[in-house]
Amino acid sequence: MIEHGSGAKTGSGANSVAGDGAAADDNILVVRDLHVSYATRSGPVAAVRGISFVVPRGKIVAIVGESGSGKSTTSQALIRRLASGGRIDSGSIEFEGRDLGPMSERELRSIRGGRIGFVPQDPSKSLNPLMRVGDQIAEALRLHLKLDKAAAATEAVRILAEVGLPDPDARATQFPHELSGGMRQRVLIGIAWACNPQLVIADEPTSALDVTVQRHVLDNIDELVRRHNTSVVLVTHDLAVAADRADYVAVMSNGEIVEQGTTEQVLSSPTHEYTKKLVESAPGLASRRLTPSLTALGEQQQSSAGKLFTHTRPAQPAGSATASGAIPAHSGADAAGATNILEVSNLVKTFALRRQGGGSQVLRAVDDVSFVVPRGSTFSIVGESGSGKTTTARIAARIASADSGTVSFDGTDVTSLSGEALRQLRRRVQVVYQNPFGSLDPKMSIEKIIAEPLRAFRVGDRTHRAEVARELLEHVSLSPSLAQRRPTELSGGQRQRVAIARSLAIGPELIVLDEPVSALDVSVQEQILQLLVDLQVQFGLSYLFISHDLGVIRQISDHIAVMRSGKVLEAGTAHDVLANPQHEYTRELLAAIPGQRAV
Amino acid sequence: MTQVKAWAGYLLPKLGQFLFVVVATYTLVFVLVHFLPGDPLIAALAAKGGASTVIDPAELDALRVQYGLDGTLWQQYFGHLIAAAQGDLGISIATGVPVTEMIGRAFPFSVQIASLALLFGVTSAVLITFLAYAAPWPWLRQLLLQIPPFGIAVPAFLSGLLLISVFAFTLGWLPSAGARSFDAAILPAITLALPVGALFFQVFSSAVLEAQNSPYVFTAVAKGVPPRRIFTKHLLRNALLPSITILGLLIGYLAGGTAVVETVFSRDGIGRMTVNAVLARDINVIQGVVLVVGAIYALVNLLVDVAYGFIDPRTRIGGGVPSRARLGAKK
Repeated sequence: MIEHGSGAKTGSGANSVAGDGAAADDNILVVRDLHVSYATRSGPVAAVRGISFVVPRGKIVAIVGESGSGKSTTSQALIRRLASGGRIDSGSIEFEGRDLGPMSERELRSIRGGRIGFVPQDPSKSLNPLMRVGDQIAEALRLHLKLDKAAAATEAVRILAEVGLPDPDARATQFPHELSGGMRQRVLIGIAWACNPQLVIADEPTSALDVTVQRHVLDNIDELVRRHNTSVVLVTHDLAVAADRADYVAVMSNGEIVEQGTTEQVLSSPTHEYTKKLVESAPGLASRRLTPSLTALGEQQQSSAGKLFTHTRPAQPAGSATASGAIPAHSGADAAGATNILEVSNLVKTFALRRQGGGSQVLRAVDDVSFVVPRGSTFSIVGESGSGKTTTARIAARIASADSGTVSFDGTDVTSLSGEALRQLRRRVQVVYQNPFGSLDPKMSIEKIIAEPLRAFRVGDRTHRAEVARELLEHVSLSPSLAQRRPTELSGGQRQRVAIARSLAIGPELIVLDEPVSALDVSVQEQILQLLVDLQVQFGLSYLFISHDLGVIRQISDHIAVMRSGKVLEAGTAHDVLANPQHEYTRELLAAIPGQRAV
Repeated sequence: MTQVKAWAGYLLPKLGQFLFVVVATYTLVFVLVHFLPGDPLIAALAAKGGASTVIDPAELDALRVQYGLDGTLWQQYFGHLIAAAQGDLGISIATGVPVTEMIGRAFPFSVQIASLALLFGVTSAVLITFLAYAAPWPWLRQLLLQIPPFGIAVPAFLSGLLLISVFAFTLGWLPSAGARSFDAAILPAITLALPVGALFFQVFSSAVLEAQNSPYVFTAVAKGVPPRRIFTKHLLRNALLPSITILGLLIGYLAGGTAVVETVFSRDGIGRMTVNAVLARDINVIQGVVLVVGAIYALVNLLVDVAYGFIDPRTRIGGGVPSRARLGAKK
């Protein structure tokens, strides 16, 4: 069943993933040996390299791949609308037996929106901000079904009801900014299904949404598929979503389909190396607490034998770095230290929201939050957007200040530290941010970036700092030869490793990790999480870990707190919270993790 | 009721800004004129009658009273301000005619060419942008995008003379000077439209080309919307938002531009009047013109702010949305 693009040129390439019994007529879409490239300054770059697949009537075919795999390009090529510079070099896209390739734009327009619907990726930007959502649905109806204005408006309201928007009459007259992300995505789904198309292409329809919202939106798509007997091409990076929703799966890597077949086949007995790796690393599918790798444990033992190992802090072996002398030891390395590295109690943080046209409303972003982080362990806060988890983390790291409540670090109250005292706290508490693209200065070399905290605290001279930077690069499994590169030359995963190396430079005891892996591909996610687990043992670190993804949380946490609307709903050991959730919302979150149906 | 309150809350600060700009403009000009070396009235009389004019001190005092230039600076400052608020801008030293009357007479001519220029400029900017947007080949698009910057590069006295020699003298289609007929306004308006349209084009076309790659345009394409409708329904209004802001600035530019254009085409108008007033050191006229132009500039910017509220629902004031639904909407 594996089909390499390069082997498909003979024309028999489009053998069906639907099984051999399916007649050609049963396939709504047949893609044969499709090649797409983008023109760049240094010549054309192939994005899709000879893929072939079919979409059977009424079935969901998932195209799964990581960023840069060519899956989004494929989805755009299916309606012949590529980003500027893109072109279809060869191959055919047969929709209902007709090749879209040679079709005129005019003919294509009657197919786009009329017979092929498209659900785009980013609900926050994919609706015209200046047009009422009802009108945006009605526009498709008037174009393709030739409805008059009044009929289209009525039909748009019906469609909004069908995609599950409460109070559709009022919603139809609203503008996109007045709807939540999930609602906007429902509107976009409504647009895609408005004219009852035979095929809908959904390009990462839920990756910008919270997990519970994602579940409802996907359920909604399922229902539409069943009711209208629509075929769907579901493009996603999330193998678990594909596992739950799709009948067939095609795995893309590097512009080629490396493996395709029924969902069960691909997931239960993957044959291609890449698919195997993807199945293994999908957090929703394989969930267990990661354990430190053997090399990390080895280094720990090695450092235990080292001369600087202090037995007073069993949870915090001083680490190999201390043994080698290049990386500064923790400032408190010799002190006994409190058992809890961080204790926060009764934190409250409010924001005044300016309502349109005057008046204000107070938002309690963090509402009476208390927790403790035991030394040397990982404490995770899980919650959806707007839950207050990031604000809590920022207060805990003393980047933001609370309205009331206390933060105590290593037994000392640090709530009201300021100026130099606060700056000195930064030696012991470091932060790693979500977006490795925004958090590294593009103009600085990797070495400079990593050594910056050292420079800020005047540790060592220039050569010493360069030495530390190189050593840290090795600790985060990057080649020291990258030291003189710029962040733009690195991949997302590499950048996040650099950000982690930077946070380690000054020898902190606590690292606040704010969604450190959510911007990364799943296979990279797992590598970074493994790295974090290894570093924790090597350097005796404590983590305050923030994530929206319970699958990720499960892989790294010792303790978990579940937050919603600024409140901690439930907290406890990772095992208790995950295996025996007490709060309704926690159960809902757990149920919403994709990848549970197939396994 | 809440709507009225919301509008008041939105407009009152803007009105305050408006008044501040006008008073500040007046103050600045007053200070400039009065702190120039030499007595303004004597300078004006000298400019009028030649350097050797001899004036009797008593007569001079009488003239001071006549032109409102008597008393201390504070008295003059507040006296003029209060008079201006009542619509009295004093009397021109050079002509002896009330400044309000002079401005009233010249104003329509300038408004005529300025608004025509704005119309020509904005229309052609939108048109060229649309052509560039719809251009089937990249080279044609690039070419179209390169044309408008010429409008800024070529100075108005050059383009004006070129237009006169081609359309007035060679072809004889339009008059080269004067302000009597509507025809006469066309060439000056085109001359003025070149830089104004080019400035508008720079902002508008980049907004359109940026919006063209935006996800909501992709959604529209995927819906099967034809290009022309995408431009009018989806791109135009979104791209107008950033462009409207510079409309206010363009009004200021137009005020300066009329001075050159009216001189080149020997038309009556505010611009030419200002040039003459400056040459004659006719401070009452200078003050009056600057005050009026400043007020118009501030007024246009006030209107732009209000227009923003109408065009962009995200900044709209309490506009027509059921409040129940808005409360329901998360974030």
